[in-house]
Amino acid sequence: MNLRPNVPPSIQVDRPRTDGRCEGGQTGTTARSFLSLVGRIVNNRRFFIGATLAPALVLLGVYVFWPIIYSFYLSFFNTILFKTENFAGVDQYRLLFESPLFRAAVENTLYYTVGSTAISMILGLGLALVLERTGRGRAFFQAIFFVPYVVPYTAYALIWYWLFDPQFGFANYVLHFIGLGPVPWVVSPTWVIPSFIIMSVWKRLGFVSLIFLAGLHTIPQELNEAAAIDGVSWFSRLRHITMPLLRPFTLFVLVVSMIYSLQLFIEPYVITQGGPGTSSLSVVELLYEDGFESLNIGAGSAISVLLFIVTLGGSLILMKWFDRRDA
Amino acid sequence: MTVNSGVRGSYLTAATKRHIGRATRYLILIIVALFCLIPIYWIIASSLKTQGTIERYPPQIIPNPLSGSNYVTAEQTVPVLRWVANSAIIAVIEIIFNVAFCSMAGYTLARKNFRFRGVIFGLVVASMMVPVYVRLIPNYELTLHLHMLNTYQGIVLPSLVTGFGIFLMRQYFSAMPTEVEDSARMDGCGDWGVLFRVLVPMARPAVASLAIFTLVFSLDDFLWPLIVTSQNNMRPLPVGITLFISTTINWGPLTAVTVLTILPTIILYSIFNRHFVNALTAGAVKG
Repeated sequence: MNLRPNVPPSIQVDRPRTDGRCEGGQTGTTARSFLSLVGRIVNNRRFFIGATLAPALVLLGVYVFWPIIYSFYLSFFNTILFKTENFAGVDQYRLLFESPLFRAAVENTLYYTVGSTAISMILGLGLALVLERTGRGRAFFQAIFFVPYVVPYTAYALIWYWLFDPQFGFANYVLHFIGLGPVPWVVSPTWVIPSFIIMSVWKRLGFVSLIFLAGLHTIPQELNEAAAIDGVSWFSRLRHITMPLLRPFTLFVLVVSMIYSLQLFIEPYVITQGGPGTSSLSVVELLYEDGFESLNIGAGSAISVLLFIVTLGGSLILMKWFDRRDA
Repeated sequence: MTVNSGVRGSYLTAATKRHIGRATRYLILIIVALFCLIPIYWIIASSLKTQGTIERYPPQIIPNPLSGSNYVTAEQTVPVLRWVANSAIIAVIEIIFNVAFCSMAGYTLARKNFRFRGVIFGLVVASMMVPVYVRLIPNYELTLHLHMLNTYQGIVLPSLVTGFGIFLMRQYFSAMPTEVEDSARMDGCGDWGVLFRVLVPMARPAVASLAIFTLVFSLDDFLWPLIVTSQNNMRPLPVGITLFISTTINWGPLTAVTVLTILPTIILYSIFNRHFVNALTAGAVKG
C-alpha cells in the first residue's frame, strides 16, 4: 500500500502569517496585538498539524485501539461487575473451549460466514458481468440493487423476519407459486442459517456487484476482444483473463465480507434469540449474553479476543494467499 | 462484441443470438431488481393494512383498505416519536463532528508533511478493520465510569470520528489541484481559512458522501446504543423497535415502525445515490 502521498514541497514552506482570517481584522491596537499573538499560535504550522489530528487520534486511540489491548488484559481475569477480581490465567479460554455453547456458536458463525461470503461473491460477480454488458439502464439497475445496502440493520432483520413468517410470510407464498415449499425458514434448525444467508445476499449483492463492476472497468477491453477473436471461449476468458485481473477486487470483497459475516448478531438477536435450540447462536451473540446479560466480563472479553484473532488472522492469510498467487 | 463462433451448424444468425443474449441479460436484471425491491415493498404494504388484513393467507398484495392505523397504534403503545427524535439528534451530532474532524485530519494527512504521517495514516486505515465487538466491553466500561450511560454523549462519543471518513476526505483532498490553495494563501488565508473557507466548501461531494454514510452507520448501529441505554426514552429508533418483539409479536405496529426506520435512508439515498456509489468505489479502488 502506498501511504506516501506526493505533495509538492512548496506547500510546506512556512510563510508570513496573517491573523488567520481571510479578510483581516479591524480592531484596536492592544486588542489587535493580542489577537495577532493568538493568531500566530493558532496558525503555527505545528499547532495546525497537531490540532487537526488530535481529535481523530484521541478518539480512535481511546475508542478503537485501546479496547483491543484492554480486552486482551480483561480476558485473563475473573470479573465481578467490571471489577477485575483475581488473575485467572487462561481459565476463561479453557472454559470456552470446553463449552458446548461456544462450540455451537463457532460452528454456526463459520457456516454462515462461508455461505454468505461465497454466495454473495459468486452472484455479485455474475451480476457485475451482466451489468458490464448492459448499455441502457445500467445506472438505474445498479441504483436499485444498492437499495438494500442502505436499509438499517434492525429494519433489515425485521423485514425478513416478516417475510419468513411460517404462516403469513410472503417468501412461502412466492415459493408456492413456483410449486415449492412451504419452507419452515427460521423456525427450523436446518433452515435457520440458510435463511440468514439468503438475507445477507439480499443486503450485500449491490455492494459486491458494485465493487466487481468497478474492477471490470479497470480491465482493458482489447484483451478480451483479442482473445475472443482468437476463438477463446467465454469461460476460458473469464478464468484466465478476467479473474486474474480482478484479483485485488476479489480480495477486497472477500475480506470485507468475511469481517462482516463473523460479526453475525442482529439476525439471531432479533429473530431467533439463537434458537431453535442453539442452531443459530452466533459468537457475537454469545459475547453479548456473557458480557452484558450475565455480566461475565472476563468471558466476554475472551470471546472478543478470540474472534478478533480469527478475523485478523483470516484477513492476513487471505492477503498472503492472494499475494503468492500473484507471483 | 463477438459471438462465440465455436458452435457449428447453428441456424441462428449472429444478430438473433445477440438479441437473445440481450433479452436474457435484462431478464436477469429485472429478476434481481424484484428480489431487491419486493421485501421493501412488502413491509410498506403490510404497514398500511388493518389488523384484520395483515395476517391473512393468501396475503393481500395491495393493501385494501389502505389504513394508517398501525402507525397510530405504534405511537400509542411505545414512545415512537421520542425514538425518532433520539435517532435524529444522534445522527445530526455524529454528522457535524465527523465532517469537521474527518476534514481536518484528512486535509493534514493529504497535504502536510510531518514525521509519522505514514504511520498515522496506516492507523487510520487499520481502524476501519477493527470490529465493533472488540470495542464493546472496554467502551462500555469507559462510558460507565464517565457517568454517560443513558446520555447522548455516551452514545455518540465512539462514533464522532471514523477511519472511513478520514480516508474518504484524505483521498478527495489529495486529488484536488493545489493551485486553489496557493491562491487562497496569496490572498492572506491561513491554514484554517484555507481548510474551512476554501477546501471544505469545494469538497461538497465528499462532504455529502461522508454525511450520508455517517447517517447510515448511525442508523445501522445497534449493539452499542443497545448496551449503553437502559431507559426506554433514551433509545434510538432501531433499538427501540426491538422492544416490540416479545413472545407474541403484533406485526401491525411493528411493520409501521420498521418503515419509519428505513424511510430516512431510502429517501436520502434516492436523492443522492450517486454520492454513495462514488464514495464506496473510491474506497475499493484506491485501498
